[in-house]
Amino acid sequence: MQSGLDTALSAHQQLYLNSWHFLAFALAAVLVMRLLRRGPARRLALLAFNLYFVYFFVSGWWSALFLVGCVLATWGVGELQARLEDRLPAVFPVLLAIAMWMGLFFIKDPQLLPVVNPFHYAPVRIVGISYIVFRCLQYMLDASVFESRGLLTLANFILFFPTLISGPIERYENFQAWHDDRAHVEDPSLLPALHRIANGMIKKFVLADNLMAWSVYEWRPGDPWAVPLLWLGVLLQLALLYLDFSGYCDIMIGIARLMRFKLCENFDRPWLAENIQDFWNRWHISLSRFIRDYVFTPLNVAILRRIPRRQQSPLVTLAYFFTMLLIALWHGTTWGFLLFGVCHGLALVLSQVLKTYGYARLSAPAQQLLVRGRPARVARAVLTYCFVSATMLFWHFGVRQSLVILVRMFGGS
Amino acid sequence: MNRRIFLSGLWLAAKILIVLLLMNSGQTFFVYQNF
Repeated sequence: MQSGLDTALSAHQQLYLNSWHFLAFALAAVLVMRLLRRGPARRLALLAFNLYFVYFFVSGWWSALFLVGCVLATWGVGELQARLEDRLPAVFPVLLAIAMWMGLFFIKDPQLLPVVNPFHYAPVRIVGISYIVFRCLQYMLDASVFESRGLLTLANFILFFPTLISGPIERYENFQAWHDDRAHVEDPSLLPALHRIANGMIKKFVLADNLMAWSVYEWRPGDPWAVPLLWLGVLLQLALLYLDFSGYCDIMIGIARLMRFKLCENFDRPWLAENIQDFWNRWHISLSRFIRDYVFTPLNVAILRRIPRRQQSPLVTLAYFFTMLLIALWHGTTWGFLLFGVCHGLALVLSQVLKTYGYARLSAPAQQLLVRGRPARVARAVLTYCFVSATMLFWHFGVRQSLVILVRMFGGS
Repeated sequence: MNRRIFLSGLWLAAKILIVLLLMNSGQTFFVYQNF
């Protein structure tokens, strides 16, 4: 799993969360932020810590300049949006959002449409760029409703080290309230935050890293893995990613809590999900909510306002599918992610159709047996887990190799 | 109250010991991939 970081950054820049370096950094940040309780010194100290952390995740001067440009451009567009809101055309936020999404796709994949992609000629390598772009987008779109705006607050919001590389995708208004000394979490004890950090470390460094040896990520084309081992490896994917990602979030939420900031939660027992919609309400919650608030809901509102009633239902269903595709492509613009999005989009549409038309037509005993009964709910949760875990193959292995693995799982060669 | 804090601290120390003893530090986070 080292490859992503290694290709994105040069060797001297790596900062691992299980290193003494990171622990010392986090300890220093927590102590300073607790000692400087209020005022500009505290905000400047936070900026210094953020910049130090950012250094390890940005490769080269061009990427660093690009990041500075992002912060300044976000601030400028935010000011424009806030001051000239009434005079800007109604289509401005839509065009802005589309431009940001296209920009993100181009940054993440310099080989995407190389002729028109500026990042093909000058690649930008910043770990966590997808999260940074979302924070910029939220600020630009909502600038007019924020209680106050400021370049320092914005820079600290975009570069806030606990959320920099992988979320949770915190909203500006929550961050601002803490940053401007209006909403500090006053814990009588440090123990809950320390427990949270320890839990995250156990999830990641003890469980996920030791289970990795059994995962399908160790499989190489041509390896003669037995079918049961392949099943175990494939089904382990979701558990591993959960332990890894939620472990990371636990560590960062705990550190932020020690700094008196309550970061939003990102997971809610995703293994209990009974369908894909339920899964995405429990998994990477801050991403799902962001896409819901800034893509799905505006799309839905537009459909309900502009489209005749009879044609609304299929278009809303299409909006579900489109939203799911966007979530998948946000992770990466590869055929594998696209297929992952198509699978999840279709599953989302199917669960909507079943909920709207299918289950309601069943008789009461059939509903009890197939929908509400405990065995049915457990079966649906198991199916959802297997579906998500199997489709995650497309992330890592791409379409062709994933299909090879799936065929082998069912005894093919 | 004090007893609860003491037990919580003890449990935290046990967790840290588990991490130090069983940590397999050969891997990076999935999240370090270029998302």
